[in-house]
Amino acid sequence: MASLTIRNLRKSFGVVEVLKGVDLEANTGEFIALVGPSGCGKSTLLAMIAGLETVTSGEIYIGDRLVNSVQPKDRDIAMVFQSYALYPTMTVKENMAFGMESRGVPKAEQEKTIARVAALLQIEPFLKRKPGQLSGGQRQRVAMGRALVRDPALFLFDEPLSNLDAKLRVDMRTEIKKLHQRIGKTTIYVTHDQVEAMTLASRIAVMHQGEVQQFADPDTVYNRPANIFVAGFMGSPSMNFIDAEITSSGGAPAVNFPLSGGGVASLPLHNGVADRAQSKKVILGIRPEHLSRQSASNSGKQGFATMSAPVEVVEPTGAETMAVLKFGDREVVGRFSPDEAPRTGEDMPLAVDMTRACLFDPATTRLI
Amino acid sequence: MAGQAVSAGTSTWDRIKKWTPIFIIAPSILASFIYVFVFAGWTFYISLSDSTLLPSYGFKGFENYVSLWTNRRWSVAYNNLLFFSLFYVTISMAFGLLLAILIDQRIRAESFWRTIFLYPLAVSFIATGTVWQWLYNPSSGIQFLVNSWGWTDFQFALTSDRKNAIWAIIITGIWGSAGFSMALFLAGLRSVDPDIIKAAQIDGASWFRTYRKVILPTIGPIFIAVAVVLLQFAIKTFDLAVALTNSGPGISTTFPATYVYDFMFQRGEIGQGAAAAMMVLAALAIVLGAGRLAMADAVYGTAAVEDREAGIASRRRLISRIVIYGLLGLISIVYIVPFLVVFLNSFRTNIEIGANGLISLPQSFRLDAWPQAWSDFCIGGQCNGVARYFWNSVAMVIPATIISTALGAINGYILSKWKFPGSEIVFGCMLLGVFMPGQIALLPWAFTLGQIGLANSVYGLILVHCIQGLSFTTLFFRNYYVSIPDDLLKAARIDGAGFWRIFWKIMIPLSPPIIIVTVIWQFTGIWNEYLFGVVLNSGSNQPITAALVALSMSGTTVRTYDVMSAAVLIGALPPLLVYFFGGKYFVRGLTQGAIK
Repeated sequence: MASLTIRNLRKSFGVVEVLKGVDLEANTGEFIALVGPSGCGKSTLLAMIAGLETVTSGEIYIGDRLVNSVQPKDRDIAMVFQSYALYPTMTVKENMAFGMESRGVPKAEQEKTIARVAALLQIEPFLKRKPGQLSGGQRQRVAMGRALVRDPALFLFDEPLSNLDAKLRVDMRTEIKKLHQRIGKTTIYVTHDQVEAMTLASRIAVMHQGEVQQFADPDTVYNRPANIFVAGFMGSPSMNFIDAEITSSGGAPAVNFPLSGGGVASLPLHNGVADRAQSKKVILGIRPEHLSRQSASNSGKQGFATMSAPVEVVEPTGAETMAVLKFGDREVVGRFSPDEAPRTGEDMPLAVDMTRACLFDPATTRLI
Repeated sequence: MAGQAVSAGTSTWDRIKKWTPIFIIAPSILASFIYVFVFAGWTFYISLSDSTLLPSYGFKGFENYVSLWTNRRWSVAYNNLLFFSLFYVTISMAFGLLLAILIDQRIRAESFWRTIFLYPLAVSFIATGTVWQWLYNPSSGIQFLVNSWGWTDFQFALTSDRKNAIWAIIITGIWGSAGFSMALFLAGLRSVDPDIIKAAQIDGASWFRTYRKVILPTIGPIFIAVAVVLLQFAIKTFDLAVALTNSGPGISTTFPATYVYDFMFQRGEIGQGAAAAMMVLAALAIVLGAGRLAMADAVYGTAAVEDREAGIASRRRLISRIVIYGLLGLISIVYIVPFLVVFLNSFRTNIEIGANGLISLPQSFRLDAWPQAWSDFCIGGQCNGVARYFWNSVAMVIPATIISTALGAINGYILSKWKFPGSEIVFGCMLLGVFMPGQIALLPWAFTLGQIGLANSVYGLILVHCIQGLSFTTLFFRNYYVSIPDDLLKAARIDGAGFWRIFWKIMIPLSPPIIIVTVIWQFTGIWNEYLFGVVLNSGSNQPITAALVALSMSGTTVRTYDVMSAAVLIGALPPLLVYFFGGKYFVRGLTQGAIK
């Protein structure tokens, strides 16, 4: 059953169209991530689901109830804000009780719920403190606690981790995942961090310029990105894009692109892809981790192509080494394990995993 | 199914609630609109009419303006204003800047020094003017003191000298407002990024060069702000001129603002008084418009004066420390002496004051003057002391402060958190009320209060001060509430809190600082107000400021300095107490009120 259904949702501020017809649905218990660069409309979409922004046109259903003009408090939702938005003059306990008081929940039940949620989030020691006396991570827990006491149909998270430092962010990410696995509530989670989206979500909606570019599970979004925007946005370092041309030498399709030495690289394509292309000109997308050093184990392997390219910069990070290679006049980033990492200036022999490569139509930018 | 859900969401009750903020702010909008536009329009109309003793609506075009500009007294008035503005503004700024820089040198007991230079701002110009008038009196004040030292030729009789009387007003004005420009400059100096100063020191810039080339240029906008506010004070100069010289000797210290008062209420030339009031309004508009233009691109932070201990941390040699403390000490004598004079003289006998002058150490001590001032002293033929007027002021200031602060809080809340189409325009119009000179509203208020039966009553003054104060209190609260994150309100809405619950449970608990600032601002402002008190009320219904003027004007009898000192202190005590206990908030109000 769908917990949230959004149909052709539009939002304009004056003449500026912020959302241009969004369709989305979340099944019960699902964790949906809305991800995109700033200004893509993801936060506006979340605010409209919460009822904090009015709907210009389209429909929002929570469960099977149309909520377009329902007050936020009556939507059966809870929300965790980027700034946490904890009431600074109230204690942690009062913060958690505030919503229940507003709804007239009996005192005894309030106490019981707060005790249960506080235990779940391990925030019992700070119940009597004020938000100002808590650390960032503790505030984050309290903000989630305030949402959890509601036991809503829908959890909304608005970039909840972006105010935390890098290490704490990773810890809290894991906690949110654990929490979701334990309570199994439908969750809509806005983030600009694609790693958060990948790690947490059961499905990801990638947004750009007020439109959903792709709405699919993390694996599909990463491996079969719907278009160049999604391909470039998801993954770090970004996917490499190379202008190329489809050829078929002796019936076997391949993509060709010029190399810096003056030669031409010709990488074989697997069957079927070449036939779907509208024109000969394509954009070849290769993720950094799909480049590796040629070796006995991969050079003859099915679907692997070989070529070589000069190395411009080498950036070791410890666990892996990034290298900037020159494919013709294009810079291409490769991700290698430290023991096979190139040296600067080396003409590196490469094996390219063509089974994972993506081709995009240069006219429509869509995946072929 | 879906249809039912829709109707549940937009019930009649929800629709009514949507209009709550607008219903609540509507009376304030209406009052501000009447105050700003109708009152100014009405005064403008009167200025075009043939009104004399009473308002009349015979149209006679710009005749009042023509006769105004051919009147010799008016030319004295605006020449005085130009002369006064020039010296008052520049010297106050220079002096204030000097004090600010001295205080910014990581001095010890900083708040003690600040307290000394700022206390005149808590006292009414009426009280200040009264005391300085005594000091200027050649037979008992400064001249008497210097003469008694043996320099018998020394002459210092500013207030009785036609040519120099304006200097008495300039000096007293500077004494009263240099602290204000100090507070603003200090806030500016403290808002300069300390890293910039460190960079200048690493670049080898001297102390002087650091100020001249680095610090002062970055606070350029503060100079404009201070100049604009001081010019406003100058244009509105009324209380000080009344208390010091009462436009005399002759008409030599007439100012535009006193001119308005004289023509409207002393000479029965309402039409021409209104024309003069319109000129005052025009002068203010020009100053504020020019100020706004000059500030248009200025971006500046206003750190609170007390929040940071910045200052240049250079190696201070003993000599520079001596110079700093020496200057501060010298200047503070000028600030403390007038207060000490009044304080000590309230315990001396009048005979001793007559023999030794006002400025001398007491030889006697008695408390008689205080009960006499409180309940027996004769003011304007009534011998009941200042008690009655004191209680008038109390009865006026408490309700007016509470009501205007409460309205400001709710208006500020609506204008910052429940914006509606046009709410920014509404706010802009309410802001205009901040700049309205009292002279423009005098006639309309007199007329309105007469119509609604509140003429010559404390209730009338309460109404006047509530509406006058509305612009300020709304401004204070609105600017404070804007900085409260909107997410907090969104969270509360999701938690099911509505307009009032958010106000009481979230905004008000966050508001104590701004409530204290506003209450102090309103309390001191209303307590020290003179113009409305003297024009709209008469006799025993006047507030304490009017009584003090009446008391020091009763020049027929021998001056009883002991009793008058006690009376001035009684009148100045409430705002002084507020200042000493809430000084931090008082200064914050000053700087916020100035930089709009």
